[in-house]
Amino acid sequence: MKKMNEQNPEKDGLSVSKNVSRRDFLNISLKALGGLAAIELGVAGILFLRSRSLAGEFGGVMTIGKIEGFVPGSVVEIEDGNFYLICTEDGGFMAVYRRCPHLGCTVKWMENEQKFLCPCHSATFAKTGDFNNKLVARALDYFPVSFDKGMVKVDTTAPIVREQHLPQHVSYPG
Amino acid sequence: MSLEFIKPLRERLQHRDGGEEVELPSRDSHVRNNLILHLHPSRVPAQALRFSYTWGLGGISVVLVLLLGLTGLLLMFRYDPRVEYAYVSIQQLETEVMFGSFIRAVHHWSANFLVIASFLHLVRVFLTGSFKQGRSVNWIIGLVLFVIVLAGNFTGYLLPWDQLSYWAITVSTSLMVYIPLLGTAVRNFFLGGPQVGQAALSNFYALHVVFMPALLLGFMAYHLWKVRKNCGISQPLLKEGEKPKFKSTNPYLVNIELAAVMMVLVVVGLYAMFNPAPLGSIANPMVSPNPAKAAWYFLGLQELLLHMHPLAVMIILGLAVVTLAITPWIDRDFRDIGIYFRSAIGKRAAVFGSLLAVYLVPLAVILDEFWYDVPGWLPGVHTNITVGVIPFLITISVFMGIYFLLKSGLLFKNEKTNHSEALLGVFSFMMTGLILLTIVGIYFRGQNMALVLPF
Ligand code: HEM
Ligand code: FES
Repeated sequence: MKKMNEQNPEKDGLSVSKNVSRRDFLNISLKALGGLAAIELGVAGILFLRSRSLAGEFGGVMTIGKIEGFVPGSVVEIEDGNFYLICTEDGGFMAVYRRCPHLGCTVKWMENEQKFLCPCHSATFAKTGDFNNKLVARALDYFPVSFDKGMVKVDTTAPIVREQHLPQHVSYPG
Repeated sequence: MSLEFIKPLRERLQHRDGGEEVELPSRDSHVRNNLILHLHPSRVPAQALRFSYTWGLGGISVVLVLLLGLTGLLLMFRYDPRVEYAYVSIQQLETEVMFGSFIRAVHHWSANFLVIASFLHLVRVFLTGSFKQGRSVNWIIGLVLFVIVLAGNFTGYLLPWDQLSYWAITVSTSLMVYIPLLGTAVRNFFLGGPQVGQAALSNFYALHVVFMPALLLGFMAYHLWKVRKNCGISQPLLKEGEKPKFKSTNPYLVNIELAAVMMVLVVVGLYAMFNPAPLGSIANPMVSPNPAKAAWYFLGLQELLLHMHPLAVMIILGLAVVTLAITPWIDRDFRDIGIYFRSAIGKRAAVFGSLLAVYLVPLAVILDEFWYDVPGWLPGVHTNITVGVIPFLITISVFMGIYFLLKSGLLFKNEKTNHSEALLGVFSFMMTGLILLTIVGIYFRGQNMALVLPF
């Protein structure tokens, strides 16, 4: 291309646009359009594939049971909801996601030791979900708990990520 | 059909082979030859035919890939990629379908052997310096092939939908979350959601039966074409005045290849007859098995994860892959091409690297399990530093240390290794270390991933 420009009699420095020969122009436009088409197809492909993940596998708000049904100090596994419902000694509720924040295994509640154990790389978590192990720098995620007409409800739309356990993660009825 | 046009070739061959009268080839031998000559040149250097040079590993990989395609096609007629039926369809295959268990076992073991064969092939290519002298592109294509082989294995791993597959995929995809910024989005993209479920199974099925095989075949064709474009496989430089010796492809190379095909078929077939592919109990998202292990070829990485932060592991892995990829540009000295271990001193560097790994790696694993407690020693320091930055820096300095120790000449009575030989030492350390970590992960990790003795 360079060579042609050098021989191009129109190339006399009058204007920049004259430096682009017809062939160059078509070439560049073709490449630009091709690039644009590739980007469009790529984005369309990603959006097409992404839509499936938006459908999600989690439920919405789940009604778990009567408030009085839970003994203070107990931990109950709610299988369909992917979480453990913790009823604290002072009557508060917290729903912790059962996935280990390390690499995603399902943590087990160990009643005797009063802690959560992850079987995969043996991380342990306190009853509040606080981490207890060098591998995991994060507490168990949790879902917001709400109360309605004496029932415990858990919003399982998306787990909330937290660094460590804080008192405000516990909800109290009334 | 007139044979006139191949006459010059035949005359040349006759001449090389001693010039005795040879019968005119029959029509189908002509066709056969023509087919062979689409893949191979008519003559190959005698040196390249030594089995103890290539160990036939590339060819064995090709046969395994073809076997995988054939058995995979058969499995597709029987497999059902819906979460409610996937496990059942595999169970039926194992118990009710004629030869179902055998076909599945052949597919399973070919896939596993392919990981081993292509890994050993990579090692042999490195040890003989065969990425040199214009072979840089093919070296990179080879690395891509290895990644495709692993990805193909990985996507296939989920399909039986048993406890093994469910948790191996859960653990491995959770690793993606540690990619800075994009992590969760990438994981959700591959799984089609936050957890392994139907969307993940559909994704993996599509990737496994169409995408990965297509990619593999494409790159394999490119790889083999490149071998030819590079004038065949590597060989030592000729000495001054030395004439290369040639042998005709048919029968010398063709016979070796046929033997390799037979051998692979017999070994895989027999192995599959006596060892059915494993199938655990049906996937249960509620209960992680203890221990939950990744697929065996990822256990070296999983072992590293027990010792450091996932991001540190990923950066080390990334650095290792990038370094392997740019090796042809780091090591451009092609005088030693085609010679195992480069030279006598290179051999000692390689042995040194391997032995060092044999000492250091188990020692590091044991110390970390029973004694080492950096987070405990440095209370108040964030775990990103204690299990991330610190082990990362230690690992990197060991690699650098080996290189400079070898270069310094302190080791072998002041005989200095050159750049290429020192790199070989580092490579041997890395590969031996990886193999050892994998062995620890497979055999020495029990309940709660604690160290146990397998015997
Ligand atoms: C599916 C996997 C692979 C297949 C089917 C395959 C196939 C082959 C074959 C048939 C050859 C001819 C020589 C021989 O048999 O050793 C070859 C050569 C070669 N392969 Fe591979 N290969 C694979 C993976 C790899 C990997 C992982 C690497 C390294 C990163 C690699 C790098 C090379 C190079 C550089 C050569 C040229 C060797 C020389 O000149 O001596 N290949 N490959
Ligand atoms: S997945 Fe829970 S400790 Fe690794």
